[in-house]
Amino acid sequence: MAATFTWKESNGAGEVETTATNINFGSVDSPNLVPGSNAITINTNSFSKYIRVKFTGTWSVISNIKFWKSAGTLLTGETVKASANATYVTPSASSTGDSDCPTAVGSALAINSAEGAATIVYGASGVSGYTGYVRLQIQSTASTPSGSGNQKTFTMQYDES
Amino acid sequence: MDNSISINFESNHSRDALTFHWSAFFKNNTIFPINQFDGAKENRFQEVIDNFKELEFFVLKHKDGKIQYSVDLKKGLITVGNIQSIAEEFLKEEKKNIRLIYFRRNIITLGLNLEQKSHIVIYFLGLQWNDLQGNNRKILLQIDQEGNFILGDL
Repeated sequence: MAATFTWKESNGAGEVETTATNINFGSVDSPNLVPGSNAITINTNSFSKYIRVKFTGTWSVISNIKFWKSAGTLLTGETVKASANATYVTPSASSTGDSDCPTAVGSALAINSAEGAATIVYGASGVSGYTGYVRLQIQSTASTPSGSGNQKTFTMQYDES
Repeated sequence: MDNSISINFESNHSRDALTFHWSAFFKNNTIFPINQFDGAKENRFQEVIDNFKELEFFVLKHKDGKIQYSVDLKKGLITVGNIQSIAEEFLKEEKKNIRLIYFRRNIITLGLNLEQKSHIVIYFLGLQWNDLQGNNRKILLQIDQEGNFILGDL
C-alpha cells in the first residue's frame, strides 16, 4: 500500500487534533466548519488553520514535501497567507504575519517532518510520521466583496521510496 | 465573506494506485530476489538499499505486464522491454561506482467538494556513476503511470 497519508487539523488551547475532511476558513477556531455559518467579516481575517499530514503504511524515506496553492482566483483584496513548519499556537483571527501562499511548485512551501528533518524515515527512532504544520489564513480588506469566496485548490507533493 | 476551501483530506495510496511494482535481483542469487509485493506483504525499498552491494538488476514492471524497465547495475545500462542481451557496442565507456536512483513522486491536487482531484504518481528511475575521469554522471527516466517516459532531471 506504500505510504498512506491523512490530513490532521489542530485546534484549541489544548491542541485537539482532528482528522480533517476540509479546511473551510471562517470566524471560529474549529475543524470542518461551515463557511456560511461562520462567515469572515469584511476587512478582517479568518481564524488561522494549523494542518499537517500523518503518514502511515509502508515506505523507506519520504522527502521533498511541498505545498502550494495551485488554482483558484482570489477576490479583490483577498489573500491566502501561509507558512511552513510553523509552531502551533492557539488559532486566532489576528494576522499571522505570514507571506502569501506560493502559487507554483518552484516557490512552494518546503515542509519538514514534525521533528524538523527534511526527510521522514520509516521506523527511525523518534520519528512520528507527522509533517510539520502548514499554517494558513485568509485575509480580507475593506475592498473585498461580500458573499462566497472562490474555490481554491492546493497541491501537495512528496517523494517516496 | 464565506470562504470555502474544500479539500479531500484523506487519501489511501493503495496498492492499486501503483501501476508499477519493483523487483530486485542479486548477484549469483546470493540473496533471494525481493519483490515489492509478496502476496499481501509489501517489502520496503530499504531492503534493496541494505543489500545494494549485491544488487545486479532492478526492474520496474507494469502491473499489467505491458512494459518493464530494467536497470543493470553491473553494466550501467537501462533497458526498456524484456531485452535478453545487450550488444557490446553499448558498453563503450566503463562506468564506476554505479548507483541506483529510484523513487516515486506523488502529486496530489486537492479541490472541490472534498474531492481529491488527482493523485499522480511519477516514477523516477536511473543511474549515477563516475566516469574514468572521476566525473559524476547521471541518467534519469521519468515514467508516468501508463509507462510513457521522458529523459529528465529532478
